[in-house]
Amino acid sequence: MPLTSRTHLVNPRLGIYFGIFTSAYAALVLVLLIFEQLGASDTLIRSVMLAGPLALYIAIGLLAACSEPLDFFASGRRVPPFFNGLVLAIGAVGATGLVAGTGLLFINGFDGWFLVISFTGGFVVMAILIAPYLRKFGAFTVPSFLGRRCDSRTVRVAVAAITVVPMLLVIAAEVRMGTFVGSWLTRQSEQLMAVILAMTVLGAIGLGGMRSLSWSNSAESIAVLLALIVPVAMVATAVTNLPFAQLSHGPILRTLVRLEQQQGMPIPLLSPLAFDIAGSGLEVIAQRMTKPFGSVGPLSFILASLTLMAGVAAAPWLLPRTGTSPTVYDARKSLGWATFIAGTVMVTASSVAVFMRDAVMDTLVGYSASQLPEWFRTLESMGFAAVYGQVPRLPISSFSFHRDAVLFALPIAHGYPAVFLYLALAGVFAAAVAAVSLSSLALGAVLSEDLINGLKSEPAPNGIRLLAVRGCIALAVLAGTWLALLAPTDPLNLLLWAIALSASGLFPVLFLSIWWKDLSSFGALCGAIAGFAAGALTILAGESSLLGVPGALAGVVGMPAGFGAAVLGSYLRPSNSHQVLELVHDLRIPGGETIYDRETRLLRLRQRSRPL
Amino acid sequence: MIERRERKPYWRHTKWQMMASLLPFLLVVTVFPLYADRLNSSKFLGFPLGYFLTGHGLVLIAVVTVASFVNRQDAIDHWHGGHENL
Repeated sequence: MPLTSRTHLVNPRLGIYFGIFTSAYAALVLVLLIFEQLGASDTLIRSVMLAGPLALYIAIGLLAACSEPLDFFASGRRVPPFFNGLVLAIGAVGATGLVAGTGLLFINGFDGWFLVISFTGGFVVMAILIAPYLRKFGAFTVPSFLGRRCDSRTVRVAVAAITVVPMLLVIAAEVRMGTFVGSWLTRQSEQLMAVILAMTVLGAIGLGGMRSLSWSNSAESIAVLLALIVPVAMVATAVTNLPFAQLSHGPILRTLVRLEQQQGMPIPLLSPLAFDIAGSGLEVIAQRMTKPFGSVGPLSFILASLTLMAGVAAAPWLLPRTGTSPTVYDARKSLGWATFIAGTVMVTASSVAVFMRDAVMDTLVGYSASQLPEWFRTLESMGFAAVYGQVPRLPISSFSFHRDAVLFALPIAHGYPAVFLYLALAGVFAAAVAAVSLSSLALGAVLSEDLINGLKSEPAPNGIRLLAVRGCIALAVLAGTWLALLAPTDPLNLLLWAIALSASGLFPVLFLSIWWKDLSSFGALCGAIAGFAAGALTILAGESSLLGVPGALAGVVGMPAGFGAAVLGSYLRPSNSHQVLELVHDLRIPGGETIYDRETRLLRLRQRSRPL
Repeated sequence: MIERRERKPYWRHTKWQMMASLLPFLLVVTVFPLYADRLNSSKFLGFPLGYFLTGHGLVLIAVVTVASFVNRQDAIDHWHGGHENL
């Protein structure tokens, strides 16, 4: 009998466990709400809202500790599709996508949708082109897949070196956003929050690797969903009588359009390649909510959507998650869940943006500077909003808002108890923890599996392997945190650069390695290096304003370079052996044993039969 | 387990399915935003139509695309005997 039976059984009680977690989390929020009304000290409520959930995440991570490589790197291949999709979606969007995405949709209106399209579309592309085949292969990291597929250690090391850059950028972006949110929640310094974030990540995934990550990230993702959906559902019920904010804010939006017309907001004429999105600072509401292409030109909008989609699909910090599905079919299905959850989260963020604009139009525009409501004064005193001008009836152009404060301004603007603000802040902090865990685990696995242990022909013993990867995860978290504190860059830019780099350096090679069997090792090497170099140079040139292409569009240059070099290199030095062709054929068919597991098993048999 | 001579038709079938799922999706991602402004004068569920299609509509189409892809590709796997024996 072939060894293809589903040996990795899914735990049937997962739903109960996470139901308990959700109830515990809701109970914590309700108890804090009661304490707030009873007059407990604000500092106490803030610190419990941060520390309580963090302790739960760490506890879940520690309970899932493990010492088998298959558990540590692939969660034992028994994560059901829904949870896998949840972890993928929240890990991809992260704190940066949530907070900066809401701000973009608020300030840039329609033009912020390119971010939503790239996340959801990225999962579609990943599901169709890449994920099922990576699951069939079963490698723990992207470089080890490419190295084995091309039968070349050079490719493995080169791709490993390339993947380090985007993953470090993602960690830095999430740490920056996490410290921003955390220091708002606790009123402590950003350095302290960075330390707390790093310690939480290490506590949650240090012992159990991917297995801990599966379950602690699922809990974090539930906290994120609650933090996002609860305040906006309350606002939606108050404003539109329906709790489904995502679908019910249409009439509000049309009122908003009419008011914007009355205000005479300008409709700028742009070049098709313009790309001028809100930075992390005070920004004037530049654009009508539903009018397309007021700050991003039509060509940039579509190019950015398509290239960032490819980047998300080839993201080396997300792809190791596909290996945790029990079967290839479940891997495809989990990407379906990821599409659905990422889409829902981002559409909810867009409804937050609309309700905030509605609040601005309703309570700020048309009043004089001395009549402005309390919530605006609160935001102003924190430095997240400002008003200019002394005219009796202020126009919308005299208000400016901090991009990263919009998501949290909603509960403040509607005068809800402070606990709802803390719920949102703690949830976004959890999103930062989730995204940092995901990318630092992927980075640690690349460093230890491909750069330290990958240079030998036989895998190291289990103990050394796990020790190396734990050390590398700690190194990855430290390096990312250090980078975040050292170089204060806009987190959204860091995230967009990371996605653009993975689109340029990895997408062409990953796509061709599965769909074109003639891709040779030389071709893969050329494609990865040329694509990455072109993408990185475009970003650097754009930043030093040598070239008019913004960093988010680097994939437009990098992807053709990567595809061209890979095809050219494969024609110049075709080198595929019979074994490689057989591997590609095996890779394409879901049935049969997972290739990586089979090879590990055979290797172990050979080691055992060797005379001592 | 899949038979050796089934591998070629299986992969041809899979390639067509890949294109049938992906190309329409990439087409709407390219086309909807360009026509959003013109469609904004009509409304749907209270939303300006162009805004709704680019935002909610593309998310909905993405979910339907993956769902139909998962279903069809699984049918292809079973048709050619390339599915996993569970």
